[in-house]
Amino acid sequence: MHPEIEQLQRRLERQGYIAERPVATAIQLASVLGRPLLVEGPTGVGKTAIAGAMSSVLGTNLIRLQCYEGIDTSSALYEWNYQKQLLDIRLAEASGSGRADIFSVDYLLKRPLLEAITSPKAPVLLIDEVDRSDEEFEAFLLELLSDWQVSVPELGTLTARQVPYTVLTSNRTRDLADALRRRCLYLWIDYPSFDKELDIVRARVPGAGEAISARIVAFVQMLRRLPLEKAPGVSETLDWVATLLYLDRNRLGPEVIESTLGVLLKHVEDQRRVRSRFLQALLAGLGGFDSGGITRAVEQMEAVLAQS
Amino acid sequence: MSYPGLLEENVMAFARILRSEGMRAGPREVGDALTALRRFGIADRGDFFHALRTLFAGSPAEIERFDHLFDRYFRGGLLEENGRTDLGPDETDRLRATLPRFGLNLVAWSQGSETEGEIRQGSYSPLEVLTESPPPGIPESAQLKLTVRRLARKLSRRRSRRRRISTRGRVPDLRRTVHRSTQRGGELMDLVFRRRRLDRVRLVVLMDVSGSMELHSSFLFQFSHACASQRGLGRVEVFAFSTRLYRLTRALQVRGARGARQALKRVLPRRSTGTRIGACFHDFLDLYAHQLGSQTAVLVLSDGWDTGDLDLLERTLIRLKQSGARLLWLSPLAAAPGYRPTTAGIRVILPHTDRFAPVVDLASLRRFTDRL
Repeated sequence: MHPEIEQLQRRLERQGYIAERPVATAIQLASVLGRPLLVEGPTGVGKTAIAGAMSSVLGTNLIRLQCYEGIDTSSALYEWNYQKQLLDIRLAEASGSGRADIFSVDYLLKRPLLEAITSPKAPVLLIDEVDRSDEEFEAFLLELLSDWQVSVPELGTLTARQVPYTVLTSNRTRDLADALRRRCLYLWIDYPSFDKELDIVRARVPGAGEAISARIVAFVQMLRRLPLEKAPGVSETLDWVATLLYLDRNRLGPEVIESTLGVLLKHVEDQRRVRSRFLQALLAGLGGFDSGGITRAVEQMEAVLAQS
Repeated sequence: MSYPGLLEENVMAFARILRSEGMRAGPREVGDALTALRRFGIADRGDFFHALRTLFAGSPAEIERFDHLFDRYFRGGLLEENGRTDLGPDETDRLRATLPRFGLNLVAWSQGSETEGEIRQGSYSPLEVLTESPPPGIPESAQLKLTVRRLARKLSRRRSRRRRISTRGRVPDLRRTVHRSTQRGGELMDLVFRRRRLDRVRLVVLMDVSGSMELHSSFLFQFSHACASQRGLGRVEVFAFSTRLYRLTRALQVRGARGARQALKRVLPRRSTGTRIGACFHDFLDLYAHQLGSQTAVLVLSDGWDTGDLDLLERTLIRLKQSGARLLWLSPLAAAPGYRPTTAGIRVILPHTDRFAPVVDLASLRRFTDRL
């Protein structure tokens, strides 16, 4: 691995973000080339966390814009401070000092995007869940991400002093426009491998015992192979480890699993399905895990599933 | 490491191949790739690979394609002393000819038609008709577009989160109000309001392209094209299904009916097959359930003949309805005189539909739209 990338990977790790190699390469590339990074993947694999880790590593601010349906420029970019404007018009009138210049920077309320553009030091700009916004907003972003300037009709054009390190995340609830994709580098993050996920648990929940953590990760990895509406993400794994740590359980028996399943599975159908149809197979898998690691665990689980 | 020139040429040649495969490997990406190469060197095949992939692949499907092409091109190890991989243009062409085509159809062709003793009717596919013969009555297509537009408007029923300016309403538009007041010395005389505009409906079209729908294929094509190709309709997704699901949205957005037809050809299977509505809807929900909601109308064009698992069909229909989407079932078969919904498939389907209507051509689609 190139020393720069390796170093980045280590620094991210120190921030508690375990980056697989493609992730580290993509982040390094995005910051070297000054291009936005579009991150996609299933929910709960740490897409948003990338931006947080990046800002700690780079030692700059993190500015976050959460997208939603109907988001518009007044909540993403800027808004005039109307109360102040009206008040100052009246004041100017009362004091007879002529017209107040109510369309100047003093009256501008900065929203995340303008904040990012006007920062003296390049911040990390996180545009979260961009797929939730609509096409109109996407078209606006496109313009912003290519020119890094914004025009405020009353004021003129504001150009970025420093191009922010930009991360866009998407859950693929819809296709983003090709034009937007082309502006960005692309990174797909999948569920981590067993070893990586265990590393993540070690880094994020330091108090948890090694043996129980390994079994938990194995269990979650097996769950992801089952036909469920929504497979648990890494954040669910971490929650589950924390839950069991809190409950002071260091064995993963059927009753512990059943009583805490809600931490992992957020659909009632999924919970029902696991309780009624998959629990035996999962427990058999855990048995296999104790004797032969994750490969054996999956084999055992699939063998039991095939029988039933 | 001593061939920087060679390597750069290789990256450019490789980018040409990616480009011809429809991936984003334009001059800008190539420029970035070369910058990255200079910066990170090529000491490590892994870095090289990940960097190029980040630059050139723009979706999970493209990542898969990229991995394959990268392997083919840089096979044998780029950095081995004699690992020269610069290919001439002829060799590039030849290399490309050996690559598999990556449409959805690849999987279908390899497994689709022979499975599980499905009914196969007719000697040619509806899609041959759908993709090759020109649509009868081209002027109709414009009318069809209008009808689809009207249909979409009638189906829309939710207020958008976005607002438009209006002289009446409850939420004032402060920006414009303040602007106007400046003309009157800060006196708030005219209030400008904003109100929520009507949201556009999201259309999802699922059309049956199995053997039994052969007769109606040209209408199916026209209808789906009218849905997918016009602007101002809001989000539209078009799928075809027979024994498996095909996403047609992309192909149909190609400009012009002829272009769309060509693009469809690449996506759809060649031979006609039976229908497994349940399995196809299940796949559809797996991939797109999160896009469904109260503002979604799912239009299914199918006669409801199902040779698959009816239990599964029922379960998926229930799931679809739970998302809040409306289900409009348009059946060409139902237009036939004396039609009774008696087949097992349609009896499962009917209770879950919001509308069930005979739609077989423009006229019947119009009638359906009028009655909505």
